Amino acid sequence: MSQGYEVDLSSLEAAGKALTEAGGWAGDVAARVHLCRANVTFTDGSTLDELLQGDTEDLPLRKLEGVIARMTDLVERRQVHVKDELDYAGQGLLKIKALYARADGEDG
Amino acid sequence: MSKYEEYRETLFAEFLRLAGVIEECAKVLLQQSPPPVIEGVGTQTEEYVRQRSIDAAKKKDVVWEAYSLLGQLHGYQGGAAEAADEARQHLSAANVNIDDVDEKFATAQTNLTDWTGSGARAVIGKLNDLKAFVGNQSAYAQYLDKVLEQYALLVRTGEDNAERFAENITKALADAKKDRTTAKVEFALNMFFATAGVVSAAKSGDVVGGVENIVKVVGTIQETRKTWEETDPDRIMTQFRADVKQARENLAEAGDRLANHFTAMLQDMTTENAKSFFKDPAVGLDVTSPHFKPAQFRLKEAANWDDFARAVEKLPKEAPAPPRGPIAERLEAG
Repeated sequence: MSQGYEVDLSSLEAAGKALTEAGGWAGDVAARVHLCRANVTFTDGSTLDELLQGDTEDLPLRKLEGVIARMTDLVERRQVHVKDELDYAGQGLLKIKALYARADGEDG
Repeated sequence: MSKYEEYRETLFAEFLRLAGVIEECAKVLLQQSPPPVIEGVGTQTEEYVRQRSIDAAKKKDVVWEAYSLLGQLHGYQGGAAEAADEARQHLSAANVNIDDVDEKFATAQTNLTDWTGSGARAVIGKLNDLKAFVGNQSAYAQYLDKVLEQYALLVRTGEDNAERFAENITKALADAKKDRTTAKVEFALNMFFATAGVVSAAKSGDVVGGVENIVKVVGTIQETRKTWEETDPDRIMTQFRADVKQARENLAEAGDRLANHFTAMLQDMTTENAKSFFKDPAVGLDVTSPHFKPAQFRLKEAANWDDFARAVEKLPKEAPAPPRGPIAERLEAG
């Protein structure tokens, strides 16, 4: 039951939901970037993860393959970072809204 | 690459055949007072076998070297270019573009304008920072796509050259072996030539237009004609060795140019990736923190905000656990 504080929390809730939905988008993108990463293989048959663990093969394209492995890894990490941050922000705003709603006598 | 594998198999089979000839000869030569084991050769058997063994040993080394050099030319396993193509398709489907989600950011920002306080202002500011971060991410995804495209081109060119080498060294060695005459083979290799002029190294914040520079860094492909015209397998190998070295170095140089182009950008990406946005404690989004105060997220238009804020401060930060129902209580009672 409302305590009659005249505090409209709808905008806080809308902002939180928008950021949570944006986090969902970032998560979908991250999943596809991961598929990109999982498909990369190199001229000695090694995978991206194997190359990131270190490799000493003397192959003509090995330096470039190292750069591709690192770049792909960084792009995926960035995308996961975006997802985590948006989820955190969205949930953070919704938790504040829930706290305020309880103060106003609502369930939140 | 199917023919390349066939040529390598042919060379390997020839290597094994020659090894068999040497073994056969050794057995004959190790016999005491060998009888004329090869019909029609008579007393010249030992000399004939010895010569045959020397010839086979010489060719065996040459064939093995040709086989090994081909393996080093581009790599040991096919499929890397096709894998890069498929990876690009997934990256394209990912569509790393802020435009698709810009509406959500705008909704959040518009709604947060009803709020004031350090937390609300920090969240709005961080949203702008995150938009810039995602914008950079969009550019990085396009750079990655272009790098994968050029990598596939480099791999295919290396494989194509390897196939031409395999075909021609197999033919040249087979002709020299069979006819003991001059074997002439002519073919063309594809070499990379970097575009004249300096292309600045890629770095964070580069506009997407910089993606096109990648093609210039790798260079254009030009055909280089090769002619081998020798009788002796050793001499054929001398030419083969030099040409393989040239093709391998050309491929490696093109790949290294592209790799070096991204040294600074990778460093920038690593630094940016460590950047914290909303998780930064200074933003104050953690409602469970003892430092959280309602003043950080204050509704601009609220008649009795101060009373409300005091009511908030009296509450536990986490929502209370829901009361246990009769089923839970029965289960607990055993």
